[in-house]
Amino acid sequence: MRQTTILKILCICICVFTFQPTMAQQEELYERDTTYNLDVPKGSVEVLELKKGYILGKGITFLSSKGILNINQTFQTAYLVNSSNKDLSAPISAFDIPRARLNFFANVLERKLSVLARLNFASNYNSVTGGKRSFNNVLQEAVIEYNPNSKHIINFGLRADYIDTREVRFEGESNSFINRSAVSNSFDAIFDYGIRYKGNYKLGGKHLLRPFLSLTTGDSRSSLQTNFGGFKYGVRLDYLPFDKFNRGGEYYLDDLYREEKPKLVVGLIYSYNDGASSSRGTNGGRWLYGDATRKIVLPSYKRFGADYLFKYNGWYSLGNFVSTTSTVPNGIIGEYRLDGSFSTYPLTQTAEETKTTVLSRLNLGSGFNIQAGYLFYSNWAFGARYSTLSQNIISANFADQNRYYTFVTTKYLSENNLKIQFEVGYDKSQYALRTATQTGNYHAQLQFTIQL
Amino acid sequence: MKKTLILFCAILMIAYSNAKAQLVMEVDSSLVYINGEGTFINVGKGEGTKFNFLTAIQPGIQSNRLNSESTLTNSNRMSLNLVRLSITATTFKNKVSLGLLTDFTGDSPLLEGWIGFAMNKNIKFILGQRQTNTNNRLAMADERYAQVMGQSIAGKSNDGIIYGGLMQNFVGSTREGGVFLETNFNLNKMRIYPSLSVTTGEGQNFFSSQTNEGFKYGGRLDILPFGDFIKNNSFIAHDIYREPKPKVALGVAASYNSKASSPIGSDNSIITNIYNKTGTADFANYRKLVADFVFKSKGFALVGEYIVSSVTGKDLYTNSASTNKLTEQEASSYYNLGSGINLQTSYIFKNGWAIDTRYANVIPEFDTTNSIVHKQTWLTFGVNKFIKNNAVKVGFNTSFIDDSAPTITTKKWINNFAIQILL
Repeated sequence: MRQTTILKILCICICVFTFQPTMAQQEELYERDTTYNLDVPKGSVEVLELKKGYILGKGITFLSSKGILNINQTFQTAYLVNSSNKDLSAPISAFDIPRARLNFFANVLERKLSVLARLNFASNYNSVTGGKRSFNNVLQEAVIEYNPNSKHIINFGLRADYIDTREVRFEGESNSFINRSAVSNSFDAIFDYGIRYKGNYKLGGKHLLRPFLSLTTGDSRSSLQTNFGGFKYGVRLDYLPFDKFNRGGEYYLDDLYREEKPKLVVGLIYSYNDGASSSRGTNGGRWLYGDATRKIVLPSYKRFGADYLFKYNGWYSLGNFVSTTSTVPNGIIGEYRLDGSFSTYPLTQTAEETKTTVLSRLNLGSGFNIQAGYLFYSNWAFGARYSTLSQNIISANFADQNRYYTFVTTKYLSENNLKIQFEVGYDKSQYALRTATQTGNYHAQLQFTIQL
Repeated sequence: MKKTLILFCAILMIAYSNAKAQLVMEVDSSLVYINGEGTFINVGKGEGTKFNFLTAIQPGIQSNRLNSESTLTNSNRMSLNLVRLSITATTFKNKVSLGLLTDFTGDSPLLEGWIGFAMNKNIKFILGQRQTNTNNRLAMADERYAQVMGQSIAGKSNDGIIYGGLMQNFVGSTREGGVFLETNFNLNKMRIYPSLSVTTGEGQNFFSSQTNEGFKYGGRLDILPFGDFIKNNSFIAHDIYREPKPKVALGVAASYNSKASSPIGSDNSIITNIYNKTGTADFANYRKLVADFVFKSKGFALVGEYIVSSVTGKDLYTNSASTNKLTEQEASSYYNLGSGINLQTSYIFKNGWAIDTRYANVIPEFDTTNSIVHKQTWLTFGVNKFIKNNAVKVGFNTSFIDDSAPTITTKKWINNFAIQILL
């Protein structure tokens, strides 16, 4: 008995000595980490730990007991060549860096509050709109999101809109084609600043309903300097009859995880911009009109759309339709130049002519896009896309080419985090612009994408 | 008793496995800071992904005096010479690499952006914008490592102080977008680095689509008879790593810029009023030939560079009616034609103090009134102090530039004081 007691004491002593170096080592580590004398209340300091393991595209992640900090860099470089001639003569080529985006993501307060910021280095500090209404293009997203539970999310800040076409729901790096379709390019504002809500409701069985509401400036990134006109009010309603997509498949194209059962999301969008100052909302402040008192007066811009995404066993299909209209208020007598001065329209100009002037600066009409693709087991994917644009008689000029045929092949080396894409396409000009030698634009592109 | 012993063994095993797990964790992901080289983050064991973050800030003060036909003009300037963040990463066991260099002094944040694919240890294919291989040796060193500190705006030196007369007249922008193929191999004890490139020939600003009238084709061959230098030391003017044994690099490079639309082939759509036979706007082809060397040993460095440029082009005219042929002499008013040499030497003492000098001489191909290139002599003397390797650099430099155009002679004194921090 006594012998056993001595042995137990011996065991405890040895264990204490064995653990001591480990504990000392840990203490030393913390000592090294905290070289500052932090004069802060207890509990305000969190030690960050570099996350173990790494998968391409997941970025560098620092962990604490309260949340994470993630830094992620994406990069795309491309070479493109195109010709407007039927015989493909006089081709024009260009190298390009479409995206080089540094993303920061962090969450705190038991992951209920998160922050996302994104800088696109492949951009210019000066916007297309010059003069006094120039703005910085580099900041793409800066948003705070509150996530009280799995059903509701509210966010506030600058980010990509939910109320654009479904194509905007996919990051540019996760697209199955090199560029978004002509429909998205003609009608989507993409980035805007405001308050948004997204919900996630189960309707019974596998039916899901996801409503999105947004109250934004309608001026995109220029709004960070000045808000022009009223707000933009928008809603999206997504319905998923067969439960959610696997592994976030709703947010990238090509069926990388080969859905074992068919998955579908169908959506409706509507937005009303109470004062549009650019052709589709990307370049806020480009066109400002004034009344007799020089008060800024702007047209409204309404957009309605419907879209779907389907995936099953390596196949995917995406379709979207958009239509826009506008109403021009009375009393416009002139417009503000980019240098800030006011230009009064001639007294002989009728109200109808003024209305035509205003409408001719907005993208008014409709667009339809449908695309499909298949991913082979070898991680080679092939896709085809058809888009068409219809421009109103009075509208900004956005549909000189109104039929788009595009084919793409992608080799996924590591999902969307390392891939090579090759795309060819033909953008057919509208009938009145076709000539004997030129009927549209033929183009080919090669693009590399990496996400670290 | 038996139970106690089992318990004892189990506790010991757990204790040691904890310690072992900790060691494994350290191997799995690590974060290291090196003075002058930034923060290195290794993540995961599988693909061996490594990141390097390096920021650079260089505030500076400049005073200069211009003597133009005996009229003196003095001016001063304070500026942020460099504000940069660079991110480089390798993954898939060094087979895939990514480089990004941002700069916050110009109109766009992106100076460099490229993806590299290594076929094996000896062949690497790169697509993107970076410092091109067809310029002189020191044009392949980032401005953070320049011997002479001075103002740069978006990677370009308006007054030419950072790189001197040779580059001011025949390089302009060191960065270009395109496709690069880098190879390397051994020949006895020699290291050989051949490289080829096809670039836009229109300088930087690769981030936005630009029309390429014609590509620039070029190549470079570097021979290192005594083996590799430490890190990128063969492209840096100072011997910042104090090579323990004498090292030499000899290089030649050549480029052919088809239809260059700017005077040095470093910009886009600058030249106007050159036409072809049918009266449509056209451009000449701009050629450059480069030879250079560097010698380094125990803090001492000597660099020599030579560039000669010329143009070619058939049926080019200076009027849209296509009646006035573009002669070689007239071409010197559209393109930078001539030659230049650059010699610079420096010594870094063991305590981090460095002294350096630079001499450049530029000769126009045609010493005429309209020639863009003038006879120029550049002289520079500088003193720098390196602290914590290359992490902090404090320096003063003074340059004298004698520009003798046929109709006017100017003399400039430019003095710079700057502090650079690399973190």
